[in-house]
Amino acid sequence: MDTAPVLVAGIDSSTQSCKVTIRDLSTGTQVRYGKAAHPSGTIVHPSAWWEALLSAVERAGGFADVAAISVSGQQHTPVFLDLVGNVVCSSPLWNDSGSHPHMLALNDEIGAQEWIRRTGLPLTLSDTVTKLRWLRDTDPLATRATAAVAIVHDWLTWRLMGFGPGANALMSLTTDRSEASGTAYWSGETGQYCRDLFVHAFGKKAILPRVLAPLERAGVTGREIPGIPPGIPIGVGSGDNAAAALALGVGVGDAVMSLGTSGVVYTYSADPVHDSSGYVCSYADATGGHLPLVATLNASRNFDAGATLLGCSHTELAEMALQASPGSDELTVLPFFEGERTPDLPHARASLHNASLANLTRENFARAIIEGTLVSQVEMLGALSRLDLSADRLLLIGGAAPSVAVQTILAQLVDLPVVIPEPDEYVTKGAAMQAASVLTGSFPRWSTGAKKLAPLPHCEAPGRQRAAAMVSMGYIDTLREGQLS
Amino acid sequence: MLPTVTVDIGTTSVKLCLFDEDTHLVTSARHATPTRRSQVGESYEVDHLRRLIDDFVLGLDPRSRGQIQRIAITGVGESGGLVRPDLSLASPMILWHDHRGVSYLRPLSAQDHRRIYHITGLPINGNYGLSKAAWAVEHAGAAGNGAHWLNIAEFLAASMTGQRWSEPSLASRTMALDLSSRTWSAEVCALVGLDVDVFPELRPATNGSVVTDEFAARLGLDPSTRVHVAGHDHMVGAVGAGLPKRQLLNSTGTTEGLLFLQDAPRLDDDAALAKLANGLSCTGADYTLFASIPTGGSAFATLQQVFNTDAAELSECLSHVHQKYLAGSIDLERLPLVLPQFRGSPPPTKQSSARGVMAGLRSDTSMEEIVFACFLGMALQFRDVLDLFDVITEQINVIGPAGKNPLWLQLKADLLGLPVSASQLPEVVSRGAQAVASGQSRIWSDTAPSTIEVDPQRHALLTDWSRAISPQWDNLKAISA
Repeated sequence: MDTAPVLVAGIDSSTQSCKVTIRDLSTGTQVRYGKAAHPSGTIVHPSAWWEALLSAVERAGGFADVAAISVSGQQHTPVFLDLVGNVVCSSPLWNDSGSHPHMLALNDEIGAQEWIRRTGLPLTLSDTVTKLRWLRDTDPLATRATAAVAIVHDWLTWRLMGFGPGANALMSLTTDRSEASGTAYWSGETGQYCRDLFVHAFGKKAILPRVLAPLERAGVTGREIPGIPPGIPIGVGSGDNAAAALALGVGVGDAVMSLGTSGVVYTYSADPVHDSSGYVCSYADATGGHLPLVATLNASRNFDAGATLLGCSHTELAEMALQASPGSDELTVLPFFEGERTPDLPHARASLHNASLANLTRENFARAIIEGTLVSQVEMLGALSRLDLSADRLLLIGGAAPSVAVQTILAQLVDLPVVIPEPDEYVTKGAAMQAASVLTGSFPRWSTGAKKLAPLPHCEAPGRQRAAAMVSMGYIDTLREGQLS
Repeated sequence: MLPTVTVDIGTTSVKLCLFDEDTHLVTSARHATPTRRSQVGESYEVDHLRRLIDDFVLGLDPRSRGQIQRIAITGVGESGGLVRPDLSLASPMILWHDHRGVSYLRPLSAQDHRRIYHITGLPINGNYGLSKAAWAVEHAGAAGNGAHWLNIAEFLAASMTGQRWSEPSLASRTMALDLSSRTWSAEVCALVGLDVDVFPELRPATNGSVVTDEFAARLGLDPSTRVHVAGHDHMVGAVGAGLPKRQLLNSTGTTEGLLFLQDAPRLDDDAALAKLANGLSCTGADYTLFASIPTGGSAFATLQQVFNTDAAELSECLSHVHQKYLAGSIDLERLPLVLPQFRGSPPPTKQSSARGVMAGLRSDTSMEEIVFACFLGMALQFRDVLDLFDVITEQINVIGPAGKNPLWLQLKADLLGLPVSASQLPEVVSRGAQAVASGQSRIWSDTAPSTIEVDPQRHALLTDWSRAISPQWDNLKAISA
């Protein structure tokens, strides 16, 4: 007689949607899936995320047969709670650029290098601490009412445990190292909150979630949650990148490039890093190690913008790009359609350079957009290698990873093997692995079915062109050594 | 006027017209300019070009053909090649934007630059015939003995008449002509190692030569038909438009020209720094002050290319955007800033290697916004070049295809705060060629102009907008030069 497989659920409350995967504990194979959209906009009330989670769970067939759950979510984004657990106000998302002046103020007050020294983070407008200052300066009433600050996954985990408005259970809030490391009031060295930085930014103390160890359990599901029986163990959860890294099995020598809404490049490190140049964020991972990471606001949405401008589909954009030569005949795109976080250019917009009657073709334009996007990411690899975090292979994931044009052009821009894990929801998968660890005491080893791309001749032109365009727009003063390669 | 066949050799097309004695356009034809690219540069397919003219004339009905009294040839300045006494070519017939001779200019000192500007009224540039002639003479070697440097229009005239001469407005675009004395400058020629005798006799555009018997017989023309080199197309346009002195002519084609007629050349340091080009009018009597913007109507081709639209679709888009602009529903804040240097930069930088930039693209920027921003960028560029002339003008007189582009005209009027008078008559340059060859003149009202007035509200908006983007605009120009 066949025995029913043990099922575990991973939840990813991302910027755009909430996704739920239910997987076979023994193989990692997905057996059910559900998804629900989040509201657009960059300031969102957290109740929308809870509602979307419940919808996604329902669309995934509910958790009646699920043995464990874990939640991952968008990093940095805070949820402000009052003394009894009510949400105080809508939350500014990590990509809300309204906190840029507050980031500047915090850097000015504390010193950019001091933030890096204390927290490993070159402060960006995405970090939780800048959102605290934003709230302090824009909504004093909400600030006064705030008694606790959690991150999205912390708050959703807490809700799954049956807490919520009026629960008087702020001390039950939990988080993990990865999420804490994105707040800019936590130290990778000590593993402790830097509460003085929190107070400096927010102007008052507040309750912060307890930081759990990688294999701890946050709790169990509470009562009367639609589609979710009570008593299911809940894993520690993590930030989205940490979950994806866990699912990919990222270890020493692995670099990951994730091309989703935003672009992310990261690698594994046993120790926290401190990048005085201000590119690399020293996050913690989900295993007890660290995840030095560089993020850009612009990534695969650039391809949407390119396809819209050229009036073509994504497939046609990719086909045209592959018809053009490497370097796009010198046509160059700086792809800051939405401003940029790395480098710190929140008010920038995209620009097209070196356009002539001869080279401003659809094919070159298509390729220049893809090259511009990928060179931005490759430059982030350079930032990691300057910290002696060199990679032996590059794993390409995210929504744009299956594109042949992206794969081909990336292989021409880097001089290390490019590996494409099979398409999957790696954040939900990582969350599911955390759920599994609650049952087994260790993380499962599930296959990623990766394929290695054939090496292609290296092309330096797009990197050179981007550097020149950056200088010409005044984004950098001069070409720095090493920026041309 | 005299019944005339006109030949206008443009950058992208060759226009052939037959005008009757009442200046009516009897018939016309347009062909892509036949050129050939090589690793060295780009040159005319002269046999093909001559065939186009032959076919046009032979295609006329015998009665019209028999009435032709003049053939008037105009075209782009700055092109040219070496032509032997037997009218064979001793070098390629090189296009105006071909910089193959630029290495002959590199050794020139700053003092040489100033001296050349003082003599020729031209800023040093590889477009002008001087450096191309130096290149051609060196590469022709002994095969170039006795050859003269002729512009493409002059070469075609020589083919028809058996005589080699140079017309003043074209000669003044070689950077070898002494403007003050109206003679070839041995001093300037020597600076690039060129013998001044490579340049032929000068003959005003009003002085033509009779066709050869062979040419007349072959094309069925009256043997007394005279051929005129009418001159540089922008200068001939000034004749066609009846341009009074000190008024601005804005001639539009692939490129865009700004031209004033003057009593004397401007050879001062300000003009030299601004790289304004002095020259002679077609008659050689007046002086011209000229600046060319490399990207004019060619922006159409650029936009068509990148958006994969045909001319009709782009025109419809322009019309729609124009209506939105008039209705006040264009959000200037959303627009990208387009520096339309798709073919190099205009004065004062005049760099053929300069490239265009579009800055401020958003994820939801539309094609219409880019098209609008491109023409707004062209209007900004026009304003900047006009400022270099340091003259007060009360009106912009436009000839060429821009006359059919109400958005472009309105943006110019609103941005500059100057009314635009746009010729609605086609082929003003060719009509100027007929007038030159007929020894007659025209007046601006002959061009059936329409006036585009300034809208004070939009002028104020564009003034504020241009002030706001000024730092970025200046930066883009500086970095793209």
